[in-house]
Amino acid sequence: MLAKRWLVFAIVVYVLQFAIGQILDYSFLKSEIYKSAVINSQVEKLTNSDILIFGGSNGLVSFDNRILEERTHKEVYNLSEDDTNLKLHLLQLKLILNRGIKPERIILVIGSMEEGLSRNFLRYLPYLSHDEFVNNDFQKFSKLEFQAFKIFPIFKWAKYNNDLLYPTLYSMFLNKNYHHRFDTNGDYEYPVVSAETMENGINQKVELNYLDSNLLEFKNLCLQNGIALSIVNTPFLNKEITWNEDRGDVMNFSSVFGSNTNLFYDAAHINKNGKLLFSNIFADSLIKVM
Amino acid sequence: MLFNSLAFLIFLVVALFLHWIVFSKTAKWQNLFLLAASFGFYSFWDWRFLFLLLFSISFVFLIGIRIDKTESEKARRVWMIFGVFTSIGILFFFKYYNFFLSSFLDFAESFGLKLEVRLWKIILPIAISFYTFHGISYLLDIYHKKIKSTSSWLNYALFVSYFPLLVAGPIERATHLLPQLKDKRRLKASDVSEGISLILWGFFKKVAVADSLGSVVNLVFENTGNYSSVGLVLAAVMFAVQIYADFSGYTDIARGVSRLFGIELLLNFNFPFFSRSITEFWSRWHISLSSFLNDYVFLPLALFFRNRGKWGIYFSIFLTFLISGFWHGAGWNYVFWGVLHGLFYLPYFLGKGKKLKSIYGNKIKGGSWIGNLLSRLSVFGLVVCAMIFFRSETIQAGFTYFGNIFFNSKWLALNEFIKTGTHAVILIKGILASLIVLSMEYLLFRSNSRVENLLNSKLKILGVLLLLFVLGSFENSIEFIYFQF
Repeated sequence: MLAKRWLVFAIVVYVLQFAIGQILDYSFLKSEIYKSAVINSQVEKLTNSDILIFGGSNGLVSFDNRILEERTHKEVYNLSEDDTNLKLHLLQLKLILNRGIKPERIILVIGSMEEGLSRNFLRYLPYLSHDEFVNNDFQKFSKLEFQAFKIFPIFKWAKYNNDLLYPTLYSMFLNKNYHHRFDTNGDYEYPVVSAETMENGINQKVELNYLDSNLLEFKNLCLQNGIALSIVNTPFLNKEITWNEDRGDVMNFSSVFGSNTNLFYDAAHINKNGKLLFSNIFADSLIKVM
Repeated sequence: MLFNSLAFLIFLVVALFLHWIVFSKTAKWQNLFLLAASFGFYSFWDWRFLFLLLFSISFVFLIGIRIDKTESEKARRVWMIFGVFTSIGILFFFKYYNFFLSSFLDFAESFGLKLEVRLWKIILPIAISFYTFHGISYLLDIYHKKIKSTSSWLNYALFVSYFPLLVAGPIERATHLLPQLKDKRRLKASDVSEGISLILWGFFKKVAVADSLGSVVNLVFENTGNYSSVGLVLAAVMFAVQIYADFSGYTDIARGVSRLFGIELLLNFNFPFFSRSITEFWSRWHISLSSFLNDYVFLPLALFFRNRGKWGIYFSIFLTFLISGFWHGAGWNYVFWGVLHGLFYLPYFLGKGKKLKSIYGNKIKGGSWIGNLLSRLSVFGLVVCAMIFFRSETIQAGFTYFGNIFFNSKWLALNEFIKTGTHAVILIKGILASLIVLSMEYLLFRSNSRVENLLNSKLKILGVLLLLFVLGSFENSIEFIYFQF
């Protein structure tokens, strides 16, 4: 009798958590909170875009889409997201291709080539029960947690309540069009800060691997789907990025602003002024390759 | 394997199934399984230290039999001293050898004496303080003829290494636990419901209160110079609430898990923040350690100094707290924390009559509500002050913290806590969860009830699960503070 009562209770709790988890997954994927949600909820907008920008925080803060659109006469949307890496950009590409989104050109912004899952991979957790690509990528890392997230969908919402639950609830009940750190074009900008408070960056050269497996897969997918690809390095303060190989698709602007602190928010990101200037410089180069 | 991990949840479910279904035939089978599970649990940290644990168990077990079987009082005492001092010696080597040696070297260097002595690379075996104290209490109880030595190595080994209490207590007594291991245990409805209540409430305290507040407190204690006076006071208060939620949460989970196996563990916390005197506080905070120190340190000392009047008693109290500080960790900040608590007793002894009497009565009865409130706030304030040293890396860092509170150019700049949106959210979650915990426990305290009775309906259980979902800080998980001791 005792066991039966607790068993019934456990089943009720399980069903309840499953239902809550599914409702939250659905609401998240219908929202515009993060770029991960935009990929699913704004398919039409992305399909109408001629150019999509992929990248981490460098990609997010370096482009003014209005300038790019004016200069190139193309629709541009920025899918860059902070705290993400190449592995996640590859996942984004698979997700958009799976939804039939095929832009003319992709601009892939690369600042570094960190391995593994970046922190904001968690923003793709609501895809777990929907998309095999996300499943595969998560499975490679914490297997136990991954299984728990699948069996008890509410776990991920509880574990990442700061990043997933609260924004989703906010979007569900208070502001349907809530965007976390980006505008309607997918852009974000850093303010102009005093040069005195900024770290000067380190005078250094960093070499990136052109033959990185994620990058090669990214390029192959673009090639197979007839998408032109431009690999871009945005400006850094006192840092020069080089590549161990270049087959003509790299646009390297890493040292274009040198040590001009007026154009930077910090050593790795340009500010509002830097963004305006860089967008024009970049548009000039882009027009030439288009 | 932490109590707040997924791995432990799976371990627990499997262990419960095996204990109640596969190994439920006799008490011996049940105990054998629990011992195997406990050793497995311990091996998750470092299997090599299992040998030390096995040695400690077997050594104390054999000495216990020797004391019991020896008739001569003198020989009994020799065996007892041998057993206790060997146990303390092992603890001293692993926990304090480097500490005392480096302290001595620093001291010598301050006199210009530079000694070329190398420190050893000693890894502190987890739970060593706890299982050593289990062994010592067992030997002393046999010596004082409170119990007979057990003839079952299995039962004694389980008493010392039972996994819910192995890593951070409560420090059990053989008189309480060993009798529960004698007979076959049967699953009772009250054990299940009260066990689940304890686990969930403890889990909520750990994940929603301790881990949220802990992430904020860590930031403040790492950069005390960056915070305003009010900010530093708030962080100190938050640390007191954090350590309470962390340790009492751990104990609640341990007691709850144990109840699911049909074994009741000692109460370790009894709403200490509602105490109206420092004596009452110590009768409610880490009860299993306080009562251990009371029985095996304070009382023998008080007996020894009985001819020295009230100052003999005070000296015994002071020494007991000094040892309590040492027990907590190999750091002078812990010792100073103990010294402070010893000093908190001083005013009682400076007074006469009623004031001195109140030290023996744990609970002050009656009084106006404002008087009670002021008493509670004063006790809490003293506890928080001492906690600053407990949390600081060194005594000097503790004094710097106080210095920054009193001689700060910024009095109030609370925006320092909310440098990022995530910080603000974690702080709000922690404060909300703390208010829920403290108010629910105040209701229990007022009604003379206990945590095991808190979630006495399935609706309440659902409520706490929902609160965990919304307020939990699973991502900012911090190791239980008392694991390091």
